[in-house]
Amino acid sequence: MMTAADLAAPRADRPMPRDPRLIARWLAVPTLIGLVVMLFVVNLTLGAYAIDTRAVLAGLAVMTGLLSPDIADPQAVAVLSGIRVPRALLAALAGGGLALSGAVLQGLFRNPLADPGVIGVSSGAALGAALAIVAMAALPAPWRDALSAYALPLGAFVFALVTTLVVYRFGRSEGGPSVASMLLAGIAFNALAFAGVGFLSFMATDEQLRNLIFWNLGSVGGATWPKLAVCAAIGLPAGAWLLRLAGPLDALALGFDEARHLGVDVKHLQRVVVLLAALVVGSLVAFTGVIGFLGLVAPHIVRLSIGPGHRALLPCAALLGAALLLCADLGARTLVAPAEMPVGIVTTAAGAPFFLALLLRTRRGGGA
Amino acid sequence: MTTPLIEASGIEVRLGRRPVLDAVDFRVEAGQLLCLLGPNGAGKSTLLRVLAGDLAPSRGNVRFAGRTLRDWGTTDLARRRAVMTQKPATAFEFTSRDVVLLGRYPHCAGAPGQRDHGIATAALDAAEARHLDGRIVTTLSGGENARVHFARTLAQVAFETDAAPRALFLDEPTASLDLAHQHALMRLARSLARERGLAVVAVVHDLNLAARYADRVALLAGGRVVLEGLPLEVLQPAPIRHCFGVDVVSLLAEGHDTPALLVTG
Repeated sequence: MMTAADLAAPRADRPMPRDPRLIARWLAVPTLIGLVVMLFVVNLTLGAYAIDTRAVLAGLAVMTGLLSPDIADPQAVAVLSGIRVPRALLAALAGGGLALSGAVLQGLFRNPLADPGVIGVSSGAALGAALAIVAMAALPAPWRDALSAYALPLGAFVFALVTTLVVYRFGRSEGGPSVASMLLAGIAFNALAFAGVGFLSFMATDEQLRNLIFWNLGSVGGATWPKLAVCAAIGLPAGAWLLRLAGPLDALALGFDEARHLGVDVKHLQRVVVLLAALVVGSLVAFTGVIGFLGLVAPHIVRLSIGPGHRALLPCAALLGAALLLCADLGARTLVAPAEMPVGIVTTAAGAPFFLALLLRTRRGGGA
Repeated sequence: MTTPLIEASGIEVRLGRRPVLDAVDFRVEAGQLLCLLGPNGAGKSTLLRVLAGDLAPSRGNVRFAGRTLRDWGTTDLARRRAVMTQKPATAFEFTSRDVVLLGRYPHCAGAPGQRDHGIATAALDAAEARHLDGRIVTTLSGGENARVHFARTLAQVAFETDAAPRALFLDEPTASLDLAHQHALMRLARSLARERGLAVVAVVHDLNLAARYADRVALLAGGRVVLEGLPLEVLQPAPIRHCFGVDVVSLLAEGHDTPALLVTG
């Protein structure tokens, strides 16, 4: 039997932890980076104006100033830099941001079924967008023209943040963070926001209604460098901050009290995660509209293959999210060519059955 | 032993208007294993939560190593005291080693090194959970899970080499353990107290377990400490009758020095 004397010397000959997911964990990041780069290039080659891989690489080299402009076809360079590169970058950024936010919120709520919707950020954005679309029509023409480019993303972003803050305030109890009441407040405010969207849809003209519906289906089309700059300026620092929260999120998996016993400031963590996730998702959704299921599916797949440790989970979920949205946008652009489908239809149509299959497999296999 | 490591004075906790703890004074010295005993709803777990700093009492205060709990930073406190809660449940499919390594979180800022891994192994060994090392905690039985979490608390406070006194709070640690593991855990808790100078406070239900291993026991009922002292003094038929409403006799088996309590009615 053990006594404290036997505890004296922690042994040096430690065996490697026998977690079968360990090897997958080492391979995951390089594999996913390769996948993202590959899908990025493929996205650049396909489209109404076909550009082969060599020309794409030459074009990218010219765009980044690595090679002199005369090496590539100027028209290809124009298509790449004007349309395809910003679009693919936005897809990668949005996919990564949504998946990363999903992963941290799942960690915070200690529930693999949480997604950015639970904190009200998506429904808030939808309400803001609907307000912008419908209310803009009431403005006099010169105002409308001047504001049209900014009103929608700004409305969506502001409402996304405001809704999240309201849900967060409601969900706070005196004793500390209360996830249950925050979830309930989220449900109530989602319903309220959709009632607002419903009312605005009812008030809207046919054209506004069409705009509204398409916004809710999500798209990374219409990406421009300035939009990309806004998303990156908000999303990249916030994302980098979120990646640093891996340790406390691991501790939180043991429980809120247990995390506090280990020295985690749980209240502060909750505030930071909710705010950063809302910033990331709000800034993305403002330009892309609602893109469903990525925030739920990507972290889930990563967790099943390399385990739940957030140090590996967070970057891998972000990379997988980027790869998945690049892939989905490829589908959105090619499946019904020459027309183009909203990418949210692809992510949801592909994500939901895949998710169900994963659930079935996990249940049969008795856990990953 | 002059100043107690943990000193609670005038603790009052109310749930609505009902007092859960009422004017509780309580002290634990470093190097002691103290068992909290009492019927359901007596306030044992609440007192443990107050001592651990989870619950701010509506009146009174708790001092740990001379400083009130409010004045401790979360990380500083985490380096000095560990808590095992009742039925800890892990949200995701972490391995037992991952969970035990989290006990090192306050020491290594979430980036465990070789020493932390060594400590995790030793802690799993001590809790007789080494064979569970690579298992997914959500698939463990209740008793196995309890041993893994016990190992986590050991990794947190039982291996530091500096002289600072530390504390271990255990809320019904033996509840889901088999007979052999109940005794192994209590024996280890006592030797941690005696040889490592830890103050160990454990809520237990088995009076005989407490009688055998505890240095001191405190009997709670109705939110008050009814009696506190050496196990042989406290665990007498009269106070047990008073707190639990159960008649017991004390039997001493030949060749043993701890009497066993037998319920007679």
